[in-house]
Order: sequence, then structure tokens, then C-alpha cells
Amino acid sequence: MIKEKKSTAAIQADRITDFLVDDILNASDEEIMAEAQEDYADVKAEVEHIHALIQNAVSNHGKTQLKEAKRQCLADKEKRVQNVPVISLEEKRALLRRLSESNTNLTLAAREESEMSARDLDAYIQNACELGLIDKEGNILCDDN
Amino acid sequence: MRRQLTHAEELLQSLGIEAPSDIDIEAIAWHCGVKVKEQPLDGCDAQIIGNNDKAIVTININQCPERKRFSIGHELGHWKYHRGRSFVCRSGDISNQGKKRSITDPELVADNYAADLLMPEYLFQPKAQQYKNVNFDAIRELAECFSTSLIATAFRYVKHSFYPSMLVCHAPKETRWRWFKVGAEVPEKLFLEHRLNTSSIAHKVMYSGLEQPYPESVQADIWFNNEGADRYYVYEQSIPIGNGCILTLLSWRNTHMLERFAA
Repeated sequence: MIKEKKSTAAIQADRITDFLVDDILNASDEEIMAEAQEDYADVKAEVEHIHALIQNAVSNHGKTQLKEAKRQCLADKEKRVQNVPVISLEEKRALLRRLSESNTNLTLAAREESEMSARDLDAYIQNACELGLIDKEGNILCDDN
Repeated sequence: MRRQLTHAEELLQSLGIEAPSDIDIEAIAWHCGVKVKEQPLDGCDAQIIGNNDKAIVTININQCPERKRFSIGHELGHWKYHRGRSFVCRSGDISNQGKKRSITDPELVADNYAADLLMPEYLFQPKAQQYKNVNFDAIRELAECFSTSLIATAFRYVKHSFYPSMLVCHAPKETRWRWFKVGAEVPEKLFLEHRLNTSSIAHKVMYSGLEQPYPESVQADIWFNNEGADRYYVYEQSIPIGNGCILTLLSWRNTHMLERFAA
């Protein structure tokens, strides 16, 4: 039941926080400045101190996110399998064209078809498979027409 | 007034990036929902395909590491600004620095985003300003620090160099410069000579293939055709950058000439 008590305490803390935030949001800039001047000798220094604290918290959170992204990225590299539908080069070109025309959510920065080699096309088709846009037989799975 | 951060800089700051070595471009891509793969490509340096909030970027495995980083940054630029769009680019659209491109050109937008991600101004400017001698040694050290190519770094450097500077690229047998990039303090009314002057250091470098190791003071009319340019001097350093092309860094240690032609 400790868990339940904690949860209640957290709810109460949230309520107090909401009340304090509302109180601050409802106060005018002049009221906030007047109150700050009563509490702190140097308001500017205090503002900078708080700003630095917030920046530091944001930065630490960001570093944790980046570390996690790196971990996931490395883990993903270890389990990659490449699948390309076994279809002709012309069919691959046509497939990419159809895919581009059929899906308005698609982001695609591609070279002109004539400038694309078989390997370039394979990379697109492989990645489209991995994103679940086409199946292993080369059928378009996801379109919005 | 505090400078407004670019979108790329906001992303970097939200991830707590405080030093160039923190810029792990693949991890940043992953954070943005983009997986990066490497494999041989023939027609381009990189490509992107994405659907909704997930994308995959494939980069050409045969590029140098600096170029790979820039390619990832470039595709992330497309992901940021051109999501949900499909567009086809011709080879001439990409890295065509000789042609003046519109600021809304998707390739330029993506290039700028890549430069901001890899060399964010809030990290680049303080480092660039530490070099009181404006030369290619400074650019090379910055390139090493940010893991970027010499040319991409030079592009950013001229904007933040300690003294005003600009870059000019010449190719053999071409009748005028191939491209140039000016720093913020260099006036638009300074007109570059189209032809490479035979008295320039760049001309010697082009035909000897040997790098000029330090900037040398030359008469400004060797480089500029403004009336009265012969009364001023400019520092010139030129290096070969491959395929017979020459990259020249021009710099001014005082602003007399720039002020004269700014009016």
C-alpha cells in the first residue's frame, strides 16, 4: 500500500504545484518583480542563477536522450537484415515511381531515374521494405489513394 | 540582443551538445526518427526515403568520413524541411556552387541545415575567433575539430574569421572563377576579376600544384576590378583542392578598402 500513499502524495504535490503555477501566471510582471525584490538582494543574479539551473536540467535531459539514441542505434546495426524483392531493374524503377505517386506522406529525395544505378534503386527498395511501404514481392502496402 | 538559434542549433542544444566532439550525427539522426545505413551508391552521396515519422538514409560507403557526416546532415535537412515531399534532383542541382541558388532551393536548404548541425555557430564562432591569423592552417584545425571537410569548414570560416575574408575557387581552363563565398563584412560592391590574374599567387599555385603555405600581401587590383582597388592591399593564400582547382582565401587586416567600397 506504500505505492498508493506515494501516489496520493504525488497527486497532492501536483495540486500544490498547479496552484503555485497558476498564482505566478496570474500575477503581473510588476507584482513578480516586487516580490522578487523583497526576497532577493540581487534579482538579476537570481534570474541568471535560475536560468542556468533550467538550462542545466534541459542539457542533462538532452544528454540522456542522445546517449539512449546512440545505444539504440548501435543495437539496431547488429541485427540488420537486408531484403530486396527479386524483380527486374525496370520493375524496380516502376515500383519506385508508383510508390512516389501513391503515397502523399512519402519523403523521397531521389536522383532522376536515368541517373540511378541498380544499387541505388536497390537501396531505395530495401528501405521501402523496411519502412513497411512495400512487401518482399514488391507490392505496395501503404498508400493513401 | 541575443542571436536567434537556427533549428539545427536548437536541436543540438536540446540534446545537451556543448562541444564539437558531442556531435554524434548518427545518434542525432536516430533521435529524429532516421536510421542511417551505409552501402555503395553510384549516382549520389546519399538518399532518403521516409514515411510519416520514420525515415532511412543510405549514405555512400565510399565517401570519406567528413563527407559522410555532411551527407547525413544534408538528408536530415530534407527530413526537417521537406517531409512528405518527393522530389527528384538532377546531378547539376547538387553541389553546383558556381550557380547562384535561391535561398528556398531544397538542396541549399539541406546544405545549410547540415552546416548548422555539424558546425553550429554557438560552438564554431568562439573557436574560429581564437585564430588571429586568417589562413588555411586555422581552417584545417577547425575542420579536424568539427570532423568536417576543408571546403565546408572554409565556407563557414569566412563568416566568422577574425579579420574579414572571402573564398574564391578557380578551375583550370575556365574563363572566370567557378564560385566565391564572401564573409559578412565584405561589401557586395567589391567586384571580383573574372579571369585569374597571372600575377596572383593562385595562378602560380595552379601551374605549380604547390600550396602557398602562408598568406601574402598582394595589390588588391589583382583580384578586384573596382576603380581605385590598386591603392589597397589584400592578403592572399591559395591551395590546390583537386581536379586542378585552386581555392584562394583573401583577407583584410584593416577595413579601409572594405569601407571605401561599401559606400
